Amino acid sequence: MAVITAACPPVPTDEQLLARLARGDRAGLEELFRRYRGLAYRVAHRLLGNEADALDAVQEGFAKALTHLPGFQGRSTFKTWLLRVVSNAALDLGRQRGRREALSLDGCAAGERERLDPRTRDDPTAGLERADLRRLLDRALAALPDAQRRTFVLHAEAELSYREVAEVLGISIGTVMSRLYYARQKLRAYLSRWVKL
Amino acid sequence: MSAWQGADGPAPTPEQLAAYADGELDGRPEAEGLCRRIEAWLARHPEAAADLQAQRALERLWQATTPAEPAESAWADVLARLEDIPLSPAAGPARSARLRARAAWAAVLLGASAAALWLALVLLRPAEERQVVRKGPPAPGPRLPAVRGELVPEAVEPFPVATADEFEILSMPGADAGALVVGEPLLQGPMVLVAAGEVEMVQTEPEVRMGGDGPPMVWTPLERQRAEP
Repeated sequence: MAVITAACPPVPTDEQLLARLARGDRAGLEELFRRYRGLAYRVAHRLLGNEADALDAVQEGFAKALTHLPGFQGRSTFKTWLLRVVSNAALDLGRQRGRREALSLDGCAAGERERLDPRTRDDPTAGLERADLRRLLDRALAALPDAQRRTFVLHAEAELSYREVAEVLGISIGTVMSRLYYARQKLRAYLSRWVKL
Repeated sequence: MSAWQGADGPAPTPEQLAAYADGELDGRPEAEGLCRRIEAWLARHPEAAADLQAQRALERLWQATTPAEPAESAWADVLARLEDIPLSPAAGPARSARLRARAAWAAVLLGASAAALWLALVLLRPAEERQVVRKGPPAPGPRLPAVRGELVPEAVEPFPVATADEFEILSMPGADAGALVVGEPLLQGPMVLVAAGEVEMVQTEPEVRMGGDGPPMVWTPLERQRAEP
């Protein structure tokens, strides 16, 4: 049996796609969207706590990126630039839609609260499904100040280095370290009521 | 991570330990010393391992709760709405790069022209005029600055940048160690960096007494931006 090998076309870089987009080639947008939609969505979801709002934030973030493309100087990577825009959009949406109120424990249904309350269960970690854990983590995140939440999400979800987080947020690495420290402290304090950490 | 108070040497800060656990110190030659110090400190303080484990447990919890991807149809809807947005007329990074390159070339050309003009003016001046400085008495004005311990030879014409009364010394490294004091101290009292209401005290280091029975000095390192709880 004859084997036919075909050379794969080189994958265009972000810069090449942006250059295409700048020339009006919509294919550049589609490829950039496919490349970064998942990452942008996960960051927005962590910041907002639900799929619908996260999709809105991604759309708004990409839309802003498109309309502000001339402002992209290429000093940072497209990825970090997009994450800045998307996380901004997510926090704005969260403020408009009152994420904290929706996610605070005070807003829990009585049954759910009882189910999550460690005093009503023998083993604090047993029986927690992934959805329960996610809800807990969402609430713990919602209890953080915006700056700490955003810093932690960019580091933990987008897996950005301290330097990249500092670049996205326009802050020093020392501030990134400080915010991460306090965010982790608060998350642990919150989650330790239900989960062994 | 809890805040440690090192009784047997400077303890790494909780932020440094977190950076160590995050792998932020790996592969950075400038952080090698800190890395070794943290590892030695951890060997002497096994109780601190619990904090590092808690950080890793939080990471595992985080990864276990990664949000599921939306359906492909949801992505298609978002992309369709993005397709409706008109593209901005100006190009982005490519155009910016071209503009920057042009600006750099313009700056180089301008600098070269200025240098050529200055050289022409110096070389085309009459010889007598150029010798005035060499023959005449030193011109009144500020003394020539010392260059590597030697005075600039008088034959070299000074390039006037400013006169003595056109500048003011704001600070001088080591000025308090030697005998040179010029004018009055710049500050007549304490230097106010922030007002009391602008600082929230989150955590302090153990008190330090500067000899005798004076009041304790509370301090915090400048490079750590503690003012942000």
